[in-house]
This record gives sequence, C-alpha cells and structure tokens, in this order.
Amino acid sequence: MAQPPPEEEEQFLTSIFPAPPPFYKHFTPTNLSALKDAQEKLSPNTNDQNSNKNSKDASSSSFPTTTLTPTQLLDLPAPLREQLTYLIPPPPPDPSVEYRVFGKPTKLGGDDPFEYIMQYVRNRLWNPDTSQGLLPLWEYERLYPADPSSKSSLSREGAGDTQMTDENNNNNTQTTQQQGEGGGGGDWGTLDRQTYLFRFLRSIIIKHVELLGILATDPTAPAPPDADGNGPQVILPENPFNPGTPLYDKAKDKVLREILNLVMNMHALINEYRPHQARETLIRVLEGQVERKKKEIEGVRRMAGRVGEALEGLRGAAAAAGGGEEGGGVDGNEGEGSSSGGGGGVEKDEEKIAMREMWRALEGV
Amino acid sequence: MADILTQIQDELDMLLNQMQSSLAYIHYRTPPAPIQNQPLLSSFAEHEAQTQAQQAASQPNNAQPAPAAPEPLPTPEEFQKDIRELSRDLLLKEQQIEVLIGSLPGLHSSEAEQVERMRELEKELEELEGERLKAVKEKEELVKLVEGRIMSLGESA
Repeated sequence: MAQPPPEEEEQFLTSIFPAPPPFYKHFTPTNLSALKDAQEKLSPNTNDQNSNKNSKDASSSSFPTTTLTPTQLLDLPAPLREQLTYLIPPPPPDPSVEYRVFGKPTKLGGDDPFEYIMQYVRNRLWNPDTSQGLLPLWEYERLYPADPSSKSSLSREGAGDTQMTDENNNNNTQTTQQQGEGGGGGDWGTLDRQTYLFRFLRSIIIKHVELLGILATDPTAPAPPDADGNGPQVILPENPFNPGTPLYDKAKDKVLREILNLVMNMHALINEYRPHQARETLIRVLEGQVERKKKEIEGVRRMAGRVGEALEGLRGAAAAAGGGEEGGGVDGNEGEGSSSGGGGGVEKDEEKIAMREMWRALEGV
Repeated sequence: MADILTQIQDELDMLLNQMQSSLAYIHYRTPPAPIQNQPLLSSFAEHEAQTQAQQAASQPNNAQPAPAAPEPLPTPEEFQKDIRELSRDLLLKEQQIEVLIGSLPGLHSSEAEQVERMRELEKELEELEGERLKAVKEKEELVKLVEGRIMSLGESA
C-alpha cells in the first residue's frame, strides 16, 4: 500500500499533463477477450428473451456493437464484473440533462454563452447592487438581422456599395458619417455581413469623433433627449457629488455605450462567421489536395513515359549490339531490333547512351 | 498567421486601445493655454516635482532618491503634430480592418453552396485517388520491366 503514492508523485512531477485515468490498465488482451466472451454469452440470452416479444428488438440487440447493460453487468460473477466494468463506456448523458464540467453546468449540446457574457460585461461596467461602476445602463442590442440571407447576387450588390464608401472614407470622415448612417436606414435583410462590419467599423470611428467633441466642450453634459423626446435617464436618485439632485445620464456615457454596443456587434458577427470560414478553409484544403494529386499523377505518367522511351531506346541498342552474337538473349521481341544489326563502335556508344538514359529514368522513379 | 477573423478581432481591440490612448494623451499632455494678461504658472505636476526636488535637496541624508521630474509638456506645435499623428494612425488602423474585412473568403457562397462544393471536391478526390493508384501500379510494372531488362543485360554481358 505504501508503494503507489510515491509513484504517483513521481508521475505528477515528471509530466506536464495529468496521468491518464487509471482504468486504461484494464484494457488488456485477456480482459478484452473476456468482454467479448461475456457479450457473446449474454447476447443470445437477450435475443431469446426478446424474440418471444419482438423480433425487431432481437435483431437490434444482436448488432455487433452491443454493449452490456448495467443490469447484465450485475448478473456477472464478481471477479469478471470487476474485470469488465471499466471496459464498457458509460452511456452519454441525455441532451436535456445538465452536468458539470470544471464546476460549470453544461449541456451535451452546449449552449451559447453569449447572453451570459453580455450580462457579465454589463455587471462589470455597472454594479446594480452598489450602484457603482464605469458605465451605467449599458444593454447589448443586436444591430443586424438575426439570420441574414446570404444570397450571392445580393451580397455582390452590397460589396459594390462598400467599395463606393471605401473611396469616400479615404477622403474624409465626414463623408463616411453620411454613408455609415445613411446606410443604416437601408434594407437590412438584403445585405450581407461584410457590409454590416464595414458599417459598424465606420460608425465606431464616427462615434469616437463624437466622443472627442463632447469631451472637448462639456464632459458632464447630460445626454440629449432621445427620438421620443424623453430627457436624460435618471441613474441614481441622489448624485453622490452633488447631494439633493438626481444623477442623470451623461452624453459621453451614451456615446461610450454606443461604441461598446457596436464593438460587441462586430465581435458577435465575426464569431458567427466562423463556421462559414471553417467550411471555406476545408474547401481550400480539398482544392489543394486535388491539385496535388493531379500533379502527382501527371508526374508518374511523365516518368512512365520516360522509362518507356528509355526502354525502347535500350531495346533497340541492345538488340543492335547483340544482334550478331546472341539472337534472343536480350529480350523476347526483337523483330525490329535484329533488323538493324551490323556495325561496331557506333552502336556501342548508342548502347551506353541508352543505359545512361535508363539509369537517369530509374533514379527518377 | 492567424486566420482573418481572429486578426480582425485583434485589430478591433487594437483600434479601441488606440482610441483610448489618444484620449489619454489629450487628457494628460495638453499644454496649458496661457490666459492673456495673466502670469504663467507651472502645472500641478511640475509644481509637485519642484517641491519634491527641494525637499530632497534640503535633506541630503535621505536615502530615497528624488523622483525624476515629469517629462515636460509638448509645445503647442508639437502637440498639434502628435494629435495629427495619432488620428492618422487611428484611421490607418481602421483602413487596415477594412482591408481585412474586404478579404474575407467565400462571402458570395451560402452554406448549401459550400456543402455542395465540398461534396464535389470529395468525389473528385476519390476519383483522383483511384487514378493515382492505377498510375502507381503502371509505374511499378515499368520498374519491374526495367529490372528485368537490366538482369538480362547483365546475363548477356
């Protein structure tokens, strides 16, 4: 009993990664074959039981990947049960059931933590319990349609539009303001993500300029009335720096909230784009593989052609050289080879050339 | 290189950082505007540094070295130049992000089209694999043939 702990300690010290779960040691050939035996032994039983009730069940349980159910496992003799328990993976949890990973409740399908993150950011910016923080009243607001239809013709239209704004943006920011805000009133559903990203990005710059203006003139100015004509919102009934008056929402905070919202929207859009890019990357890789295979085949073909040529040349030369002395010694078919017999040194050279050619071809192979 | 999406997100954070630092620069480094017919007073930071320097001078045995005097504020001309540079950098960064957004791949294909394309490529790959195997077999046969030739040549020599 005293032996295992030091061993574990050593493992802990020598390896960066945690040791594998100890039950991997149970996957020995003997245990695996025992599992197979047990499965085979138990499967017919279940088949017999099921065939009385339902033949369909029986066929499904005789499927080769059948695993032992917990009840079947309990029926096994104790030593065998101990031996086999770790070999059978537990069933995956139900998709609707929550379980904990690193102390966090998780579901099998995984859920979108976006709302939680936005809530977290909001609480970091303004603590509602203590009424303290940097930026009150921020709420994430989605500025793009939930499921934008990315039809090719429409997105091309959008790309042309953004190119136009590109040029304007180079000239001065005033134009982009008009473009960015004018574009905001367009038909939302027919534009693609790229256009939205451009819009948000330019709006951020505009808002930055706006923020600069507010800070330069009056950093404590109350927020201007909104579209409905409502005045600045009351954040706290009592201003801690000016008792007796309520704390109003400030213009700079409003702009900061808008910038934050735009940035969050951009991040969300980009993250939504990720599966698309993953598919696109896969397509690129596949295209690359097709290209490589084509080249490989072409290379092999070319090599084959060269070897064939060299062989032809060799055959001709060899047949010419050996034509006089040993008729069928070199190869079987020398119908054309023997006809060019006769002559001495010239053919010897040709043979050498042919040999060299062939070796070169072989090196390529 | 990271993929374009991550790059955009990084650059976006950088853009916000630049916005913040340019605001901070304006906030802390703006030279005081002289008021006409008023004496020019040193700023608070300068004043503090001066008093500390005096204290350090009056107590020479004090082990604690006097803190370095704050960097002198830029002259109005320098400040204007810096602000121009900052805003140019900001717009440059914005343009960089626009270029990145503009080069996002596959914007003109929907998910179904992408899946379709992947199927096509997969099929093509399988066909090519068969062709390749055939070519390799041919090559091996040729090699065998060549080997046979060499052997027979060796025998004949």
